[in-house]
Amino acid sequence: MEILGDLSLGLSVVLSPLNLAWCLIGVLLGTLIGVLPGLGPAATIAMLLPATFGLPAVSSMIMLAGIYYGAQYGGSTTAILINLPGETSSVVTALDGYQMARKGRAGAALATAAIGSFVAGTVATAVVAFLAPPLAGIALNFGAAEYFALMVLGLVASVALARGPVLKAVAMVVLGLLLGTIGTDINSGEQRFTFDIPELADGINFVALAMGMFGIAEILTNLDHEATRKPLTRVIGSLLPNREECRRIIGPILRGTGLGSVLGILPGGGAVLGAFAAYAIEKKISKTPQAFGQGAIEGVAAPESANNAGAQTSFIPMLTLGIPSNPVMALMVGALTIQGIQPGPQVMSEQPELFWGVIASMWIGNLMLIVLNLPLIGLWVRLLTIPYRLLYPAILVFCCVGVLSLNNLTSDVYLMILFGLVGYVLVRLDCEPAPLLLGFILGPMMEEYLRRAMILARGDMTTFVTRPISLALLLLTLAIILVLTLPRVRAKREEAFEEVA
Amino acid sequence: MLQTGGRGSPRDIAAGALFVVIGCAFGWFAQDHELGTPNRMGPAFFPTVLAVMMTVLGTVILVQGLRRPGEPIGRWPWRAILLVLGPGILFGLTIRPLGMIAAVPLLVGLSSLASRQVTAAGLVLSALALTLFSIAVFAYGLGLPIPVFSRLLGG
Repeated sequence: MEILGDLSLGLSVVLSPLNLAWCLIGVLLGTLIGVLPGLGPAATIAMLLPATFGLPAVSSMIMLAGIYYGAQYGGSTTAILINLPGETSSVVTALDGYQMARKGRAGAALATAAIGSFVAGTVATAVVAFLAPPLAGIALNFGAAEYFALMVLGLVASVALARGPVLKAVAMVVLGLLLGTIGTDINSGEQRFTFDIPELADGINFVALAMGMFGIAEILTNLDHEATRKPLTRVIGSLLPNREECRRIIGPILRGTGLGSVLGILPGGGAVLGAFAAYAIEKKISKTPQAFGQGAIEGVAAPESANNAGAQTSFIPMLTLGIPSNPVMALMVGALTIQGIQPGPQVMSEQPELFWGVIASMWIGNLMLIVLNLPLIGLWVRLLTIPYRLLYPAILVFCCVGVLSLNNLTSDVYLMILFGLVGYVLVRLDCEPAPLLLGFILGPMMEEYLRRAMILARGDMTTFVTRPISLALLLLTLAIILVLTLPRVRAKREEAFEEVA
Repeated sequence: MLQTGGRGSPRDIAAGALFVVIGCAFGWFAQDHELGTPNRMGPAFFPTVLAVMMTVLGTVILVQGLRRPGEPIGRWPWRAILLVLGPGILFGLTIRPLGMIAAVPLLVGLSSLASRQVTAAGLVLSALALTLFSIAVFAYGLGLPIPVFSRLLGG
């Protein structure tokens, strides 16, 4: 089978000592920031982007990917032990996980989360390996019109899944697209919106924008409600689920994995959506739904499997189409671009070591996580006692030094601070920054594809609806918009995000 | 600052107004460039379309905000804003002339004051630790071209 050959190529890449080391660093860092509340994977990856430029592309992608799925593991630890989800995707885990911890079953809950994540990680790696090549094959036949339509779909879907009001999310996407037009227009060579500032000629530095919006703005948000820490559950209890619990978690883990894998692939998807959906479904099909929220182990197993599966399959659109489905993937696209690699379907054929290396590293990374994390739980718990007042100055230092080291421009520091302020103000006005980042990343590509499609069609706008694939993608987009505007769905969507928040 | 408890949603009104202003600004400055035709799109084409969308969206959000009630924006945490963003700008100003050995402790020391739970010992210790860490890891470990010592001292 060809896929086995490809996977073994990937394994040979990962198993080099250097890449193994970066994978380990990635998953450890991921777990660490997953444990620390107030520091998410998007901010961390933005902070680490400058450090990855000296690395080979494969190593940097392996490490950054490790941070993302490692954070899902770490996030569940704090959710279970102190009812404080380290990541959005583990918000649901806190519901039943913390109740289990209060009943002295914290160990079993942590083990369930780890086992579920590992099973999900393994299955999701296989899903990526099997689905990515055919998808990339289809995408190779895409023309400019199809790509444009695909990006429209990706952006609209990201809006659908953003928290908060839909209209504001759309506006944030448009704002991101507009910010992406700042700089030298590649076709005419004219400088747009730069006001003759030479530092803006190459456009707004992506890392400065991302660090400001996610790193700096988050500090302000966290300082705003500097929370009093909740008491720690000291009793971990037996780490092993008993036989009855083992029997009960098999179904939820498998269903969560399946659901998470599917939802992760969708544009706009990722770890969060799967976790919410998996919990809801387990509650619905359970014979004892009243047990949920009281410490039902199924309520830990399903979302933990789903968020890990979703984190991994969300790499599929990024690796095969070059379309990021969430902010973390947008940062990955940025990391690749700065390495000189244009993400898209050609990556698989032109850079097979990179493509299969990253996929194989996900499985290896999951293996590392389960081996490392259960014994290290004590260490992670102790990390939780680091007060935020010591943490945020460190984040600030990493952001400032990191963004400066990129191009050695102090103007990037000022730009980052500016976007920190802008990001914070927007969050206060209920405008989520994630859609803005996606728009910013996709903007220049969208303009280029739109321009090319128009030249090919001699200015005929109907090209987007006469080409079948483009039409299908746009119809799908329209369907999402229609569904979003239905009052009943809107209410449900808000409910889904608010119920557990 | 908007602090209404009655009609209208201050957050929506402010967000909408902000988007309208941004849309108009981009639309205005886009006119410095050639619009072109759909067949041969000029540099102003894509930004103009987006600027119009932005302005329309902003208007809708604004009008909706005037009609339905919403939460107030709330108080701005001026202390945190000034003591996080200010030291960041100061870092940009001081890193070249003074080097990391002075710019990092300034950044850490001042920004630590943003927290209401700051302690003197924590402040000094974290400033010391982060400065040593930054110099060891960023300058020597990763070899980043960031000055360590003050240029004024001839270092």
